Amino acid sequence: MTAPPPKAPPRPKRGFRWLGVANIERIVVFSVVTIAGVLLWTSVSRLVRVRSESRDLTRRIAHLSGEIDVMRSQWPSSRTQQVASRIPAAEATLFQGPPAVAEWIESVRAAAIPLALETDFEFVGAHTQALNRAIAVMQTRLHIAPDRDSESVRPSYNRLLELGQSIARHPKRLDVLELSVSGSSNSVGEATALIEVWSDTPSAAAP
Amino acid sequence: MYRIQPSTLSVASHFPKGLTTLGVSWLGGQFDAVALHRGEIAGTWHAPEACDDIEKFGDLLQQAVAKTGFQGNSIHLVLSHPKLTHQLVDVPDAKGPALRALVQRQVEKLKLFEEIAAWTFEKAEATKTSTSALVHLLPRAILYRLVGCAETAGFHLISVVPPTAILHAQFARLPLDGKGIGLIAADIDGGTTIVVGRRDGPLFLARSLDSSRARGPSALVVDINRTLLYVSQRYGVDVTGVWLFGPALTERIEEFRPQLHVPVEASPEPHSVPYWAQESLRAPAEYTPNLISARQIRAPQRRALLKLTTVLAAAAVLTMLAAASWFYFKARSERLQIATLQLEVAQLQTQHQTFQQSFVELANRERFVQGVLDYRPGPVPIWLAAYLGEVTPPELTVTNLHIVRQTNTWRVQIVGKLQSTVSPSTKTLLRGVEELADKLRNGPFQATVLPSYVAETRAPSARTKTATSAFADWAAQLKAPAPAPLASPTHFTLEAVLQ
Repeated sequence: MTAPPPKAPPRPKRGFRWLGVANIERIVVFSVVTIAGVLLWTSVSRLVRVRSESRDLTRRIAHLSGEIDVMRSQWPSSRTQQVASRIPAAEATLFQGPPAVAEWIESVRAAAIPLALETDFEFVGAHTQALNRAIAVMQTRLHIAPDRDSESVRPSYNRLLELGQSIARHPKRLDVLELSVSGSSNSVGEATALIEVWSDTPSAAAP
Repeated sequence: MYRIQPSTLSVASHFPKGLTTLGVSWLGGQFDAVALHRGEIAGTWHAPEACDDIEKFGDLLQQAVAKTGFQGNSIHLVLSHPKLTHQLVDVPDAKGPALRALVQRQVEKLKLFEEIAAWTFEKAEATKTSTSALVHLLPRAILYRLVGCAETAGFHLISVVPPTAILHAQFARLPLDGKGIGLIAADIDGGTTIVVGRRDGPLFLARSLDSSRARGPSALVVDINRTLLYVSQRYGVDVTGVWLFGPALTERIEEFRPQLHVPVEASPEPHSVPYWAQESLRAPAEYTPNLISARQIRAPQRRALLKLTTVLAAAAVLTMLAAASWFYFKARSERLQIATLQLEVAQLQTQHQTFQQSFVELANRERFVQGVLDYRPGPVPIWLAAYLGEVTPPELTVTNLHIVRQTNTWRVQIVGKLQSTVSPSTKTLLRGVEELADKLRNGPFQATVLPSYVAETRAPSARTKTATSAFADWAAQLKAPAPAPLASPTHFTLEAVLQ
């Protein structure tokens, strides 16, 4: 009945069975739950990302729509039509280049002759006015003096005024920026006017 | 159906309270069952016919349940089987899993059958030199068959114990002193099971003798004497008494007494038909050698837990998969909306850009129109010159007129003098200048006449003064006792600003 002292036999190789069925089941269940959890997390995070993107786009649409509405409110059709209708008048106001200016100068000189006035144009300078298109603004100084050789019954002051009014009534854009009149009693010795002439540049395109 | 006697029922009070189980003894083909319901015996049953066929275990259980009205699920079995043996082995001094591992290494050498063994062990009395273990072995196939039959019948077999475990409990009730050693020989339906032990302590040994060897008293006496001798030799102690248990042995007690050298008595334990089944319920599980392993005992709970876990995990997985699918399709739907929104954004951007360009163009056109038409200054110098010709007082004459545009205003300087036909008088000059200034202020030009207009004199010490101060000086000179000769003022300078 007495057994011999025990010896330690080599442990047999059992492959994955050492894990045990229960542990394998637990691992399988845990893996499946984990995979499902990862899938859930992935889909949730994807939805969150997509919703965030959607919100950004919605905000952007609202912003753009708002800006467009503001622009529309600033520029109602009546204002646009008003601007469009006034453009031909504005264009007609400008001299059409140097020939037109020269023509005007000649017309002033011609108008001064019957008034017994001597005129002399002095070119002062020119600059460009940027108003949607380049407009050449030429400054010229007009010297007016009574013609000593001519005799006129009208006072020179009245003749000067008549010439000035003819210049002021000109339909084109002429700005009299400065006027100096000097003389003595009941006579005008000399008058000088600084005039700006607005001319459309040849290269300007039609608006 | 056998009903337990009232005297026997008295021991039922020792059953664990709340325990509902079925105690079964299957000894030598005799099948007995005791149903326990919440700690109380609900019924007993004795199979009318002996049966040795393991395959019938399930049927016997079902009959027992039907007869006893058992309502539980767990089964305790006391089993004697020709292949259920008890072996005493020496093991090193160890405890717990280490001792179990040591015994496991002995099992292959101890078994007397070819099949794989199911085994359990209990600590036996130690010898002077080593520790002993009493190993109970049974072919695993038989055990599995019992478990399988029980499961097929819908029950869970949670213990299979040898009769030696029941007999071991009898020592507590034998009239033994503290150091007394007793031998119990129990009749188990033709066979005899012998255990040697003390009132308080492990067994010395256990033996099961089949019915052929127990048939004659002399053969049994020989086996008992050999056992007594073995105990004496192995442990160096003498058995102080022999107790016979079971009617088959106690009836022949007188035959045993002369042949044994120790006192022979009948066991004080009352014997009844369901004794073994009943005692199997009373035996404490932790001290009872059980051929069903703890792992197998917990198998139903484990299976239920696994089933519950699997169901919960499956529900969780299905829920998560359903939620993931819902989120996926929601995200897909949002993606489609995003595509629409992106298209809308692109359209709005194009529209915004177009509007911006056209509005810039419109603003430029408007600036052009306003610059050319609206901000055109009028011919104010011509108008002023003409106006001066009309409003200059007759006593004055304007000799110099200078008007120049300064940003949005016109700066005017008028220089004049008294007419030559008018006698030079400061008062006249001042009145004329004031009249002219008044015309400029209140006339169509609404000019702002600067307060510094002056009336100049042509005196040698001519100096520029304001009208007020000049008038004050002039007045002071009138009062002065010796005024210096001064020329009357004849010229004036008037400055104004036109909007």
